[in-house]
Amino acid sequence: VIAKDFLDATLWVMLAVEIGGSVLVIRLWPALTRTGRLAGGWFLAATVFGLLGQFGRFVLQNSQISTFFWFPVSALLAINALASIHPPGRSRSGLRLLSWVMVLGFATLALTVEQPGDYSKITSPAHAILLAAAAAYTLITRVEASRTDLLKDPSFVIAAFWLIYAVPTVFLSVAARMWVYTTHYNQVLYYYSFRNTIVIVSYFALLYGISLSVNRRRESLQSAPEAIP
Amino acid sequence: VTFTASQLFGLVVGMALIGLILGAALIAASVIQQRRYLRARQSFASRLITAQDEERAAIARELHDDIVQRLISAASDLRRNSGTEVVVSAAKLDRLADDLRGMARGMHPSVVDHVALHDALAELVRSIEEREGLTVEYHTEVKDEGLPVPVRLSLYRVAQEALGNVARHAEVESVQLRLTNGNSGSLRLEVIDRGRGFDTRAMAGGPGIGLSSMRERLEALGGTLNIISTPGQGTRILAILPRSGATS
Repeated sequence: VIAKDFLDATLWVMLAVEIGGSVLVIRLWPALTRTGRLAGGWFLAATVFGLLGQFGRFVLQNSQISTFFWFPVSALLAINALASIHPPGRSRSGLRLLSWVMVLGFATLALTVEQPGDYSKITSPAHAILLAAAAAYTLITRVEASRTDLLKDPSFVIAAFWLIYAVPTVFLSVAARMWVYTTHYNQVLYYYSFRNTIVIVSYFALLYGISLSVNRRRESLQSAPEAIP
Repeated sequence: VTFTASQLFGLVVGMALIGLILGAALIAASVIQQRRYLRARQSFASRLITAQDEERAAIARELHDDIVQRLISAASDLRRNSGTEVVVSAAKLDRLADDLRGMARGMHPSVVDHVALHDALAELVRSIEEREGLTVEYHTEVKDEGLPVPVRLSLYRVAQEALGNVARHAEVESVQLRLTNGNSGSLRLEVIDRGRGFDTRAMAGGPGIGLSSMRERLEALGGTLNIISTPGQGTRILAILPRSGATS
């Protein structure tokens, strides 16, 4: 019972952070850069799917139904956000191509291997592994390119978020599929709670990164204290 | 080798933890390494700028105190002998002495060493208006002094470079120069024009050194330079510098 209560608590806190963060993202939206908008779009999508997950848990007694729609949406937005951090060239087009390959691959898996309503077999770990790899690659290239303090660099902070988000997510459905119907049920719930706690903390990093990516070039020159005649 | 369910579960959790620790270590190491690099660069830039300023000041002193005085003396000697050609030659020497004096002032604005920053900027405004035919609307609310010379010199140089850029490129008749108090004891210097403007991203990789020199100079003292510009709409240059100058 304690493990389930703990998991419930993390899910509700995560949903609260997602809803509060979404308000911030919507407020910042007009001034966000392309990377900020894609990352913000991913966060808004995460909020919608978080709500759908909770709805599924309480009304349909199944939180996994919406996840097969979540993976392609997440891949498209997250990988494109990471791609937009790179300058035009091979890295950017390679990541964009990867996002579409992931979308098509996940759609194919959903229609063939995966069973709707059950824990994912391949899609969930594949989504997390590719996201972690793309984030780590972007993080390293950003370190080479950045000339400022990395904690004030929105691109670095956003890439760091996806790395921390994706790593514990890799084993999520693997653990569920293998042990949720065994005597290790409680341990699986604790693992889910641990992963959710990491995600809640990393959400603040993502929101910080999005708030840093406000485009200063959109500031009007009219904001000068006195206009020149 | 066969694993029990508990061992496999421990393996999965262990791999997740190791992955997380590696990810966090990569992020932390990158941040620490970048900060070290930035500190080293700031320290190097600071030393380089100080050395450059000292050398300029020494050359300016040499020009003003020795060569200019000798030229003036030569011109006086020539005037003692009558004759039109001699007078013309003396006038040429006087002009040469004036040019060298102006060059010496440009190399090291000695006004910054002796008077308050707002007075030095007022002097700069007068000279720009005379030389370039530009109207500079100068506003300041900074009255108190005691600012370190590197801080005064840096803000003076930024104003000089920015106003020079407006005169050369902006195609406007007036520009605004503001020196105000910022947050947490900082100073804000703004140069605003409604001229041609430019694409700041295109300028970033360009051959000019004026903007990067301004930025390096401010960053060496713990300050920042923000350039907001749009083609056709004008340019706003904002320099923010701690009063004490972080490393001065």
